[in-house]
Amino acid sequence: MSANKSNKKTSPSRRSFIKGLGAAGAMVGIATVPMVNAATSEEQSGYDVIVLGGGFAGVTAARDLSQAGKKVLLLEARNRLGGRTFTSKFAGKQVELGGTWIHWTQPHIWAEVTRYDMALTESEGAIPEKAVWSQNGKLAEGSPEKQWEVFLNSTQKFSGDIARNLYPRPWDPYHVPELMNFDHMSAADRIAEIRDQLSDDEYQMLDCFMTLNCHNDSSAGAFIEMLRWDSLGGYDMGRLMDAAAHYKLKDGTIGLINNMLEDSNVDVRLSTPVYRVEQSDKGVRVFTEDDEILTAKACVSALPINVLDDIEFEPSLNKAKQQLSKDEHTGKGVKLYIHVKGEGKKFGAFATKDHPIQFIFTEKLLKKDEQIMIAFGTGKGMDANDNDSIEKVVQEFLPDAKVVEAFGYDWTLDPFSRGTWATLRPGHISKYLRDAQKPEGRCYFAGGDIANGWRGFIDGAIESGAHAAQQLIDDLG
Amino acid sequence: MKKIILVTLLSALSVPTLADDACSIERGKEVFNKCTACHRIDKEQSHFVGPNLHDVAGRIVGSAEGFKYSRQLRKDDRIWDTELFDQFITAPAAMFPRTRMAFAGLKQPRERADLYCFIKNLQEDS
Repeated sequence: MSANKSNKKTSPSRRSFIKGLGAAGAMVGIATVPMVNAATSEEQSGYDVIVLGGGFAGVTAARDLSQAGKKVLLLEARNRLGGRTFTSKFAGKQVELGGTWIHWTQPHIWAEVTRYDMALTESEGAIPEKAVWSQNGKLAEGSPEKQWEVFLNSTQKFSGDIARNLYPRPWDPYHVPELMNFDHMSAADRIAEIRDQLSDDEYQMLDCFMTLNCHNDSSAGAFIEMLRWDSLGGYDMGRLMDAAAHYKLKDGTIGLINNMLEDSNVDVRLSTPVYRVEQSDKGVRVFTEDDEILTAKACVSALPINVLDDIEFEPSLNKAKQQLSKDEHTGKGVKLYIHVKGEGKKFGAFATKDHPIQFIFTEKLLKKDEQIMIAFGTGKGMDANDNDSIEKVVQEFLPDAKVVEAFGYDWTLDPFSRGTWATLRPGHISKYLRDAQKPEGRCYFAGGDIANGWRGFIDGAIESGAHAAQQLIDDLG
Repeated sequence: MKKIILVTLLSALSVPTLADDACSIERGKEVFNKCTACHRIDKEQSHFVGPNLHDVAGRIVGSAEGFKYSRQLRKDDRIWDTELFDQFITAPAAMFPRTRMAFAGLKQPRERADLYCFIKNLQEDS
């Protein structure tokens, strides 16, 4: 299906959507007024589908259902769209406080980029001129080429031939059944298994990288989740890093969200948290925190797994969904934007597993010796809201650097996400993933956390939203 | 005059003075950079992810017109003053466990005081 922008129909909902955003809102990803007013009566019906959650999974499902002729209501708890993406500003520049990077090896997001003819921009430090990593037990500067060599050696030993042999189709973890023999292992277990093949520097680099990927201790995330990343990158770490931290949307992630909704007749309501969903053979009833009851023939839940158990489902969801939500995915770390003085080169550094920051690199060079950096880490031992605390950590990489300002959105404290990107825990793929994706009655389930391919990425959210929409259309007509 | 000279001398010697106890609007403005992803403060601007803060000093908790708060904040009828703001911004979730504000808090008392000073000063100016 293609939708040329010039051929789009202008519907009342589309007009109200654009009006609701306003120029300032559109710039930074905020819609400050609900696009459809709250109902005054107890029950509001007439919708075919209610979609819960306005992140990329929910917006994709809503758009696809709308384009299939369904009357769709999208409910979002926050007063902005985007979910765990959030286009904002820092140090006068547009930044992404959540999900950021996209790539042409990510088929679902790339289809959207092509469809809406969206321009790319780049994070400048993806190819650094100056590198720091753990060498002989200390963070030290070295050539970017040497840093890359240590990185490649360690990650190749980590995956060995297992990804290639047992995970050849990253969208299908069950294709080679033997893969599940490794599902009980954490990333840390695998590192321990190959410890004697690694130099000390390779060991530190690898444990740091796996902690970064899990956004949590490397013992929290499943080994085969990391194999999935390797397989998605075509067993090429350069391509994987390009996909994970290089290219981004020039108009921001909110630019794509806007394009997708403008390309539909979806009714959108913001600031509408839901606490209960009841379903029968006739349809679904959705209860909002403002004591409204909204009805439809079906629903799509596009909520993060870490908050799914905040909603009462009647009848109860299957045990896999409940347990996955109770156990949560591992993403609980920080992402910080840091305006730094005292470093003018494109910079990229890995630290160690126990450092508050695992990975820090140049997002954008500013005037002489100033730049905006992005840092990812567990945040342990650092106050992410205290510039002095952050400066001490940054100076472990760059002794002369001064922090002008720093900011990171706390996705783990946000009650509507309670976490960052998803990496599933050991045992969860074999035990829960399939059932977590399954429709239950008239409710369908989507989300980047339960995608098959680029799980934990924007691409996975779009994959999952599109799939849930098609399942619903196939089942209910 | 003697008092001014004394303060100047003490300042020059970098000895703490009474002036250090006063909050700094300028530093508060810098601290406010941590709020701008979610809050606006210019009177003419609309609410954002969080409510506009231009008249928060002296306002009843959860009462900014046109902003939809969590149920817990809507029910609270205290008034924002220096002490309440300080308590809140130290750890918002400790005061309102169901808050939707995704911010762990400012741990430095000076930063909290400077921030409130900046917000209150803007309000008084307008």
